[in-house]
Amino acid sequence: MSMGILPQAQIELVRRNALGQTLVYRINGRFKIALRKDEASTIIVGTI
Amino acid sequence: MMTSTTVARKLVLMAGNPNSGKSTLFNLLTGLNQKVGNYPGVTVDKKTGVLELGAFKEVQILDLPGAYSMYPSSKDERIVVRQFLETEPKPDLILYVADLSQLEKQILLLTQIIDLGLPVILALNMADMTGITIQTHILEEHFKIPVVLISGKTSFGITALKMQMNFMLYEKFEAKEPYYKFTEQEKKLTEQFKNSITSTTDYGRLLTLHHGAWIDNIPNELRAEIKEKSEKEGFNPILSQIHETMARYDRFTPVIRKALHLVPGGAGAKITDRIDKWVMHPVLGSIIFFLIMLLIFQAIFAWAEWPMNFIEYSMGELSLSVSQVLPTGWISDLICDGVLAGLTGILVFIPQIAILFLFIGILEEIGYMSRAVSMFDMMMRKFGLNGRSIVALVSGGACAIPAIMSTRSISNWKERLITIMVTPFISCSARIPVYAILIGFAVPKGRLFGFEQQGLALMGLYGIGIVAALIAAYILKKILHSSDRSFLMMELPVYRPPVIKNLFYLVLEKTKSFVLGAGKIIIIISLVLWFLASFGPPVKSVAGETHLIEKKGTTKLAIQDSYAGILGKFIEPAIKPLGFDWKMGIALICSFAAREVFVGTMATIYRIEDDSDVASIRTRMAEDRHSDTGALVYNPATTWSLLIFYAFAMQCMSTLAIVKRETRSWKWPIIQFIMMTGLAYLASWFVYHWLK
Repeated sequence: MSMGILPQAQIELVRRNALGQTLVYRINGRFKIALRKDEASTIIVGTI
Repeated sequence: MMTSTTVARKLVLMAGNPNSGKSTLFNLLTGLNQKVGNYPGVTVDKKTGVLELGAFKEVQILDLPGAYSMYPSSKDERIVVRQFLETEPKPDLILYVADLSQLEKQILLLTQIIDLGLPVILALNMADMTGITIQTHILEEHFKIPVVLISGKTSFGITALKMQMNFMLYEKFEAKEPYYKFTEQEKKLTEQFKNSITSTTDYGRLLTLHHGAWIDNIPNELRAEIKEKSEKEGFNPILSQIHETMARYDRFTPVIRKALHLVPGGAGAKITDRIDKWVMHPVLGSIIFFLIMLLIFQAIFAWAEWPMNFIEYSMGELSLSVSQVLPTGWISDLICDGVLAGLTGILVFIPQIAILFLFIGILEEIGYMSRAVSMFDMMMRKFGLNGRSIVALVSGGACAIPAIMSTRSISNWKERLITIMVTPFISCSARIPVYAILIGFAVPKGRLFGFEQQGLALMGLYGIGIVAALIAAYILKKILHSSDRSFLMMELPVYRPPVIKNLFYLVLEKTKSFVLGAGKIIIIISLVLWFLASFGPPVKSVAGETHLIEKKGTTKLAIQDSYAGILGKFIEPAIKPLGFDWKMGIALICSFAAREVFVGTMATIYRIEDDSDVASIRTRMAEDRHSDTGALVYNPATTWSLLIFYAFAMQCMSTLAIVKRETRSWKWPIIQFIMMTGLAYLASWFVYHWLK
C-alpha cells in the first residue's frame, strides 16, 4: 500500500521471468514493480 | 566547549522514497564535505555532510535511506522511523525529495512527516524533464509547506532551495494542523499515553504504539502497557495502518492530480518499455546480463592491471629508496617488508574496487540493477540468496573484497550474510598465478575434444568454486535462522542516463571505506607475517644448517629458518595426509596474506632471486624430488590436492578483514575461515588419496 497499490488500482501484468516466479506489473499505467508470485497472489484482482 | 569561531550546526534530514534523487541532491549540496558511517548496530550506510548557508551558518545534512512510509517493511525503512521517533537531537528541518514523474506515490511519507510536527521543504526533483507540468502553488496551499522545483541532473533550483532552507532554519516554526484525522479508537488510545510517550505530537505517539515492539527508546514497562491497552481497546495495527494510508491517499491524490500534468507515456516510459522488452526477456535478458557481467569482469581484469602494476612498482621503488636511506637492520626490514608491503597489499586493490563500483554505480543509476535483481531473484532464492547476490558472486571472480562490499544493497540480513560467506568460494584473480603454475604439473599439454586440456582444467577449477558456493549457500540457508521476512517488491524505475557526480562520490566513498576500514587490519596481519617470516630462533635449520642469504649486500635469514619455516615443519604432520611437505606448509602459511604470495614464497624457498620468473620457478619445482624416495614432489596427486586446497581454502586476510567489517563481528570471518579451510582440507585429502 505504501507504494501506492491501493484498492481500485489498475494492475497490468507486463511480463514474467523464465521460471514464471517473478512477475512485473504496471500500476495505474504509471510505474512498474516486480513481485514474487507469493506476494502477488495476495492481491485480489478483477478484470476491467 | 564552544569557541568564538564555532557555532552549533543545525541538523537537516533528507528524506524521500527510493529512486527520488535524494543522493544526487545530497551530493550537490554537500560536495566533498561528506562522510559515510554506519547506523548503530547495522551496516547500512549513514551519509552525513556539511552545507554552508552563509557566514557561521553551517548545516549538517543527514541523507536517510529511501523509505515509502513510516510503516517499515525493510531494515532501511526502520532506520528512518527510528531517526524520527528515537534519535536526539531532533532535526531542525526536513528536506523531502520527491520525483515529479512519480509524485502521487511519493507523497505518503511526506504527509506522515508533516504530522510529526517538523518543518518541511518539499523539493520536487527532475523539473528539467519534458512532458511534465506542475503548479507548485496548489501543493503549497494544500500541504502548507514551501515547494521548490529542482533538477539534480542540471543543478536547476539549487540556489532557490538553499535560500528556502536558510529562511526556514532561522525563522520561527509553527506546527501545522495534523494532516491525518485519527479514528475515535486511535484518539482514545493515544490520549491514554499522552504523558508516558514523550513525543511532541499525537502522530508520534500513534507510531510509537504501532512500533512499540521494536523501537528502543521506551522502557519495557511502557512496552507492556502499550500491548495491554492496545489489546483492551481492540486496536488492530494492520487495520489502523490501512485506514491511515487510505485516508491520506484519499486526501492528497485529487490535489496531486490537479497540480500535476503528466503526458501519458512521457518521462522516458516509452523508451523504458522498449528496452525492457529486450533486457527483461526470459532468455535474452539472462544472456544480456551475463554479457554485461563479462564486460565488468574483463574491465576489472584488464583496466585494473596497469594501475595495479603502477601501484606495485611505485611502492617497490619507495621501498627500495627507504632501504637505501635507512641503515641495514630490522627497522629497515620492518618498514620495507612489513609496513610498506602491507600498505601495498591495501593500495593494490583500489583499482579493482573503483572499477567494480563504477560499473555497479552506472547499472544502479540507469535503472538496470533492479531489473537484474528481479530476473535472478527466484534462482538465487532457492540457495538462500537474493537477486542482488548475483552481482557479488560474479564480481567475486575478480576479487572478493569489492564483491563483499557490494552486498550492502541486500536488505535481508540472512541473505546478505550467506552471500558474504560464500562469495570467496568463487575463484578470484589472485588464484590465477597459483593455478597457472600448478596446472602445468598436473595436466599435460594437449587437446581434449578440440579444447586445450590445461584450459579445461582451469575452467573446471572455476566450476568447482561456483558449485561449492551454491552448496555452501544452500547449507547455510538451512542452518541460519532469521526473523527477517524475505520478499521482493522492487520498483523498476524508468531508464535514465547516470549522473556523473554520483558515480564519482560513490567510487570515492567505497575506496575510502576500504582503505580506512579493512586497511588497518591488513597492516596488522602483514606485520605479524613479516615477523614470522623474518625472525627465527638461533638454532639449526629444519632443513639442516642455518642458512643466510646474501641479498643486496646484506645477510637475511633463510625462510626455512624463520618462525614461518618452523611453523611449516610443525604443521607438516597435519598436511602430510594431503601430500604436502614442509615447503608447501610455508607457502600455505605465507599465502594467508594473499594467495598470490604462493609464487613468491616458492621462489624464496627454491632460492630464486627474481620471483617474477614463473618459468624458472616451475622448472625447479618440477624437478624437485623427495630426498628419501626420489619420487617427484609435484606428482599429479599432490598437485591436484594443492590446487583443490587453493580453490577452497580461505587464504586472504583482506577478505577476512572486510568480512569482519561488514558483519561487525569476528564470529563470521572465523566461521568462514573454518568452513572454507575445513572443506579445502577434506577435499584435498580425498583428491590426494584418490589419485595417489
